[in-house]
Amino acid sequence: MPLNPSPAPAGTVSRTLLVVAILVTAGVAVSATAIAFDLQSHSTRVTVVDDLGRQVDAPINSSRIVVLAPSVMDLVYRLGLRDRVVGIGCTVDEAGGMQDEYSPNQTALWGLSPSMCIADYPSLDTERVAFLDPQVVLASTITSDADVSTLVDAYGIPVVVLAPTTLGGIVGDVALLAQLFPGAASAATSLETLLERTIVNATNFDTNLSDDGAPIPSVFLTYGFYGGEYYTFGPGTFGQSLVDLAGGDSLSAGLPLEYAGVNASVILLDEPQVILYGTSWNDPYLVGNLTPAVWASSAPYWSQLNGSKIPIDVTLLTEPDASMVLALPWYLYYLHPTLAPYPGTPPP
Amino acid sequence: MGLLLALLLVAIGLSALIGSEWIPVPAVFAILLREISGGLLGTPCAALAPTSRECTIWTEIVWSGRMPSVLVAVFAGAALAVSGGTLQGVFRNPLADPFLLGLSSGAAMGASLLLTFQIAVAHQAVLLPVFAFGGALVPGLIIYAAAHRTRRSPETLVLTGVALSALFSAMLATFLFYNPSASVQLSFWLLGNLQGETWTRAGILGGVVVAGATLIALSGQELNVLQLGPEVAESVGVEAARHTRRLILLSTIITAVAVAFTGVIGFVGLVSPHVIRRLVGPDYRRVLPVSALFGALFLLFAWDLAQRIIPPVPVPVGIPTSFVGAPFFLYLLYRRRPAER
Repeated sequence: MPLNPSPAPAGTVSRTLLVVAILVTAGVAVSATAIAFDLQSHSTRVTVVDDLGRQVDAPINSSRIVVLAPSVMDLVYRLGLRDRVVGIGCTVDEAGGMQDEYSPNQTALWGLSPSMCIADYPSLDTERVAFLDPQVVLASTITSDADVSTLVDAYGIPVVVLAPTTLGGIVGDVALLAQLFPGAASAATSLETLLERTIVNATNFDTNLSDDGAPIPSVFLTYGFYGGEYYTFGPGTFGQSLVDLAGGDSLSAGLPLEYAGVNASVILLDEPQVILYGTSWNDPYLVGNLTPAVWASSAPYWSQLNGSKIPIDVTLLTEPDASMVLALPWYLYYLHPTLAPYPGTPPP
Repeated sequence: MGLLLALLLVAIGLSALIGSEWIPVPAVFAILLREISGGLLGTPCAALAPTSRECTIWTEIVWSGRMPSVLVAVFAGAALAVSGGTLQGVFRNPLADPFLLGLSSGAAMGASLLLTFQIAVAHQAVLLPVFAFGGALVPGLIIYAAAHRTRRSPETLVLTGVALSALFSAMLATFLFYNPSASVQLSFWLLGNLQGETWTRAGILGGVVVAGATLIALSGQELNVLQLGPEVAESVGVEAARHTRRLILLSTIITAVAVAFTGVIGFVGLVSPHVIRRLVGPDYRRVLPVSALFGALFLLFAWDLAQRIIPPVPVPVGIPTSFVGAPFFLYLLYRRRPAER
């Protein structure tokens, strides 16, 4: 006679199910917590080495960014990160301060407003930066090391300094930003490719010029005129690199200083074939409002200089960013109008 | 002295209210109370601000941003005042102050080396005080060594300082000629800067100044005797040369540390002892500690002013110390004390 196992009491089944349910729930909760913790500990922060060689630990894909230099803002904008910018460095924290530091073109393109301004002269308003509660600050060497230290040491805000010293270094900065913002990796890769291709094209053009024995024009690059002197870019500057890469012979190559004033009469004697002069909007660091008209009227030697005089937006000379690299085809065209192709679109 | 101490404590509390961002007064005091008491006293952070994140930011601004600068102002002011009073006594020269001996130009020369030649750009915030301290020690130690020669008169030592000062200034100008872009940073530092101080810097400065100023203040009686000249001092058992060297060395050290952290701040060291002598008399046992409190209060007041002249960024603190100090000093000199004119 088979034994019929007696059915378990209903209360026992319920208890068993309850225990199983609790164990499963607990297991799922523990696993989820562990996974979440793992994700948090491994993927929410990243350590990068900035252009000054500092190791910086910062959140990945920060949603609140402070940008302290126009050159950095150019890269941030091109990577599609503009919406995350909560503050920008300005000479003073009002409309005039922004106009001093950013050109009208930049202000319009990047959608900047005076309410974003953080005073950065003569020193940075670090308290304002802290108040804006950024997750990361992107700076250049415009910001002093003392101010960077204040942000890091006093307020615990990670600061990444982008200070390229070569055109290739600008490409490196794009890669650096891609490490901080993997969400913008695709845009960064495209930009890196474009910048590298532009530099390679210019280098190839320069090489071909040498091989073909084409004439190398003498070039004088200037960004200001004051007290009888034209201010120019000496050795080791981006201005010098641009002229070199565009196949020009810079008259400022032998200067003892990076940024120096050269007596106007010396320039007259050197007879440059091409004079590239930076035009400004109202930048006090560049000795006034250097529109082409002001250039022509303010410099008594200006009319006596016989070379081709070509105005260039001064931000393309002084701000080491993607726009500077992308202006290379224009430098080639300005220096070699019969050999270099017309770039088509206006300088970036 | 009690009144000055009370005033100083009140001024420290009020200075925590001043900055580029407005934080409600009750919140500032609650933050101070909680941080000082280690969280035991005062209103909890969450109850102070609309959001807990905002409260955290306020706490960082008040406690980590403002308070270290306030304390550095207090310690640097005390150091400069004690040093000024001591040197005026040692050299028996009312014009003596820490900078007459070339300490400031030495510190500036040290700082300019770093800035001009772009040494260790990523670590300049740490290295600047080290270079400035080293630069300030050079003239101080030269004068200390000169004082070792017993026949050197106080006038000779002061003039040695003046000559060294001129020499370092020339070196500074030469450095700047080769790197004009360093001049903006350096000019800000040359007029004193208390922005961006940290608790570590305040702690180092506070430790050195408290220890050094206490040792100096304990020599008040010997400094009183030195006023009568070395011969009289020796006749009553005070070793004039030894005390002179020791006081010069201590003054040099506390001044060099203060200058290293704050840059060159004029007038505090010169004015403070003169003001205090008029209030408490010539006894150095009282002049030195009271000068320390006055110097601390003076520099703190100047720092508060510096932050409000062209807000939001402070102007160099040396500007208000001179703007306020010079007229105040002239007023003291020419007020109704004809016998002392």
